[in-house]
Amino acid sequence: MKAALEMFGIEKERVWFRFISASEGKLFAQTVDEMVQTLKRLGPNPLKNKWEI
Amino acid sequence: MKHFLLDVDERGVNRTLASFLERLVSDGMAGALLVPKDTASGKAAVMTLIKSPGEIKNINPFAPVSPVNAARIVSDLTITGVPGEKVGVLLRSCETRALVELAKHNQANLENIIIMGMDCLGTLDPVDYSEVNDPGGNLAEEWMEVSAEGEYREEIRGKSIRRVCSACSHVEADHAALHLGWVGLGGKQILVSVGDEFTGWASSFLGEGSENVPEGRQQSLGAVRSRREENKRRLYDEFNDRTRSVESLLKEISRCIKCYNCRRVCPLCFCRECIFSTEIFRHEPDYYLSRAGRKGLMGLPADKLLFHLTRINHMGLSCVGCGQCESACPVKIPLGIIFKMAGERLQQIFDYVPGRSLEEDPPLTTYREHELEPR
Repeated sequence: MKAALEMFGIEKERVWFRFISASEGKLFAQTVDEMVQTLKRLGPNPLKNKWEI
Repeated sequence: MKHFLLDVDERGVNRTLASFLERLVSDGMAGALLVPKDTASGKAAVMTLIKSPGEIKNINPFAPVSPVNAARIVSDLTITGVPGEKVGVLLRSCETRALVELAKHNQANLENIIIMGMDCLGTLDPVDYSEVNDPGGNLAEEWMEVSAEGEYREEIRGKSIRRVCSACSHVEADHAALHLGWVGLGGKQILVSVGDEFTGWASSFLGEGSENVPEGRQQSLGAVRSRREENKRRLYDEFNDRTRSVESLLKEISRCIKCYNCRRVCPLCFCRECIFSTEIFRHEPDYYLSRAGRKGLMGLPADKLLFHLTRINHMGLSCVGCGQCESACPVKIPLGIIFKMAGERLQQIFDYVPGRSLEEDPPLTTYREHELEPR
């Protein structure tokens, strides 16, 4: 999926795929935090404004 | 595979093949046939299921047109079970590969299906075919004779073969129990290549047969393949530039009218319920208004980019590059090349070639740890 998005110029950092076991609550929270930070840094998806209409 | 030569008699290719296939039925090797046959007007060659041997005589097996990917038809015939008798289906490469993909995804049953393959050097858009074909004419024969002699052409009576066909190097059809070849044979003979189950039958009237294909055929096939690879590289370069950013991709698909024809004709878009036809994409009036409110306006129908990206993600790994999507597109979006190119890149990640083998698992149904390594 990342490859398909990248092919058409959509940043792959916007899609995350992680394996987290049900017992790893802390890791889950950390990963979500990390993802939120990354997305904040990336800003809103530029696609929104690229659409012609 | 054992190879036999079938001489084209004075009645021409179609009648010669009709007699050959009639024999397949009268000798009990098949109970019915699914083969291309010209309609009475000559304006279309359609896949026809023939039960009565007497009806075989007007077939047009090598007609350079593929109005639908016939794998879909075989899927329709077998989706609810196994046919009560053997059905011989005559397919070109993109169709046998699509059929194998469908069988792997439980969308077709190959039991009691005899895959008969044929050489294909490309097909015309169905509209072009109906313009240049004449009722009872010999367009297929013309195309076959010129191509068979080694002269390379991408044009039939002034009409170009479809763009994806010009980039396709699959001349022979894979997975065939019985294959009809004509490239590199001078137009006066047909190469009948058969697997074990048909060797006895073929040698009963075609002589001894040989382990090797006639001299010249391999060279002709090689020449066609390298020309097609060259075309493909050129087209991929062009379309890579045309789709490498969201802006440029949008330029290509912005005229999409969301008719879903591409989805309807795609042999691998087989979901019984497509997400785009579900409640998920049926919205309340206020949803549209609030979405329009965000930018002040919104184009409709909405979500064209989302539709095409979703389709690439859903069937890209199985895309055989048959280009039916492009032929069916009323606004002429170059979908065939875009999907073939994107599909091949996705397939490379998993070292997967759709339609290559029945035993190879579709990549998304298996888990291999190394596939998850960051790339």
